Amino acid sequence: MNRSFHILVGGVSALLIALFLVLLIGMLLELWQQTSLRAPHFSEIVFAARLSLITATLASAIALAVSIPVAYAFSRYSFPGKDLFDTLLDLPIVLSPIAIGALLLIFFNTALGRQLEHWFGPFVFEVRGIVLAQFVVVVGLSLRLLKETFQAIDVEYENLARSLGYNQMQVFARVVLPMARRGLIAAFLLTWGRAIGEFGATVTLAGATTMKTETIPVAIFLNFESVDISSAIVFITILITMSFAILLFVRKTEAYVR
Amino acid sequence: MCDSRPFLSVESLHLTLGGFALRNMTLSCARGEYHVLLGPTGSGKSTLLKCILGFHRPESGRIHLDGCEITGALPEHRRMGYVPQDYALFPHLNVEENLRFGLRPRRMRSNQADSLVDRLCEVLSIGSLRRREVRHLSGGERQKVAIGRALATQPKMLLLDEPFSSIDEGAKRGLWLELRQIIRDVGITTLHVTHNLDEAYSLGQCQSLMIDGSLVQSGSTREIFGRPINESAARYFNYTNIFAGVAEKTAGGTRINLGHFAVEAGAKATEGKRVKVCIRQQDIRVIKEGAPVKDSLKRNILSGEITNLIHLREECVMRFKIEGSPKAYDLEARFPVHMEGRRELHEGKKIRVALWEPMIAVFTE
Repeated sequence: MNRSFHILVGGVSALLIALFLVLLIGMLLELWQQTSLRAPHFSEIVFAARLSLITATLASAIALAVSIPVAYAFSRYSFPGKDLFDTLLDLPIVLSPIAIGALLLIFFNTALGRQLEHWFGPFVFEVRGIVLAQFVVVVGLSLRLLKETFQAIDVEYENLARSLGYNQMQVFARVVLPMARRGLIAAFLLTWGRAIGEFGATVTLAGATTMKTETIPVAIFLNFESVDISSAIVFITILITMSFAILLFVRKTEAYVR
Repeated sequence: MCDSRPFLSVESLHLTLGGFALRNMTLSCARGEYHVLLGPTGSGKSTLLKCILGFHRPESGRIHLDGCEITGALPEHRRMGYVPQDYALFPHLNVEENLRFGLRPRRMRSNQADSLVDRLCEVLSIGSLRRREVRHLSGGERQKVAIGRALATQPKMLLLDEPFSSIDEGAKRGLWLELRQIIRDVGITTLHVTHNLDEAYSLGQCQSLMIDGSLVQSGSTREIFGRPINESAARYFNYTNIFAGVAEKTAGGTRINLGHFAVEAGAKATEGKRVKVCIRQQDIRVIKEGAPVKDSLKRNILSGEITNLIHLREECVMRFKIEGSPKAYDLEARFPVHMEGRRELHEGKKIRVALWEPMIAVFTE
């Protein structure tokens, strides 16, 4: 019986790992079989990688900055309609990114949206639109991760710090944030990883213009659309490498901070 | 009662938290006193402590500390040292950083802070732990660091919430003595919350008993443990033998008729009143046949047989059936293990027991 159980769990795990390996190997075989290998222009790679890095870093930094107070409020306070608002803020996690992009596009067609563009500059078909789209897609994930992090910190630590003379802001800065550091790092890196691979909302709001709003996922789309498979594979390889490095870094950082 | 000038006073405090309420809580604590707030789990002791600390705002009532009203004061302005149940040592700081944590808001000069931390380490005997991560400390060490961290801010008083709850049973007694010595050395007014009777008895000069959100009784340790004010207090203080009866006047005082037996209770009840009689397990003595019986035991001697002997680690509990009783047993007595052999006690043995009259508690129903 024990042997069957081990075979079951080991077998399913091996199958899942094999699935991902097959996908990667399939991509490499496709690259091998390409009769006319054509690498994308180096400047295009640099542009897409740089734009992806900048927009993903900005979007996840803003998402984290916004999520910290909101997640803390939801983890500590009770207020009318809390469950309703909590569910509303979870929506970006389950909504299709294209739907989020469409919502943003429709919003910027309203009077308030146009007024915002008047104050802060254009978002539609612009780089700041990429940051906004990525932010809206990842902020739900960031909130969820941080809420769990703050909930795991016993409120008694905060009470104790207050009895020692710290006000609420000082308690947050000197007790809650240091104790949440592992969760904060993990939340930032995971939202960053999610943002760098974001495509649906980005392409809907910011469009897919070569060397303008061309992030790595957009570059993959543009190359596939023009049936330039080898260039698309180069971008996919860059994306996979970056994502793998992030996930490995999260794992190592968590172990180090622990 | 304790000192008449309260250093801490809680007056008519009301607080509702969900389905639980603190009702008309009144408590006072004299300067320099070690006061234990005692009560069963869920009686509201920790909630009251959190009200005093300022973490819960009462709906009504007032709290004064050292002559100043602090009812609406923020926790950070109350200058109270707090040691919570699991000590809440900051895991991202080492022992010394935990001790120094409360000094920053006080803006203490660094040489002053250094000498204060040195003195605390000396008093608490934790000098060798200064650089250690808190997760590597034992329960007793954690407790000392938590007390040190609270004392470092030189608070007006110290509040301890079940400070021994995470200490191994075997190590507790030694630590009670250490804590008592530390508090005596520092000379700080202390309010200590516990549900452990032995801990309360060993440490407290004064005690307050809380049951179900209300203060039941307050007084010196001897008074509280020896003279419970009502049946629920008596039950909490291990008065497991509780009987209902009617008080009758006799030549020597009052006799309480409990049906199949009667108890002489001095002048503790008014004739004709329905009363409850409460007798602690340790106040029932097995009579040594042929030996003289003390005066305080003479008036309440009962004959019967041992129905059960229950062996505990340090004690033995005896169930005793009074002669002619229709019950399976009437009284539960407790005595040291060695008594069983010395008096040759065994199940079914016919013996006589005596009730120690001064400790018989009688309450009018």
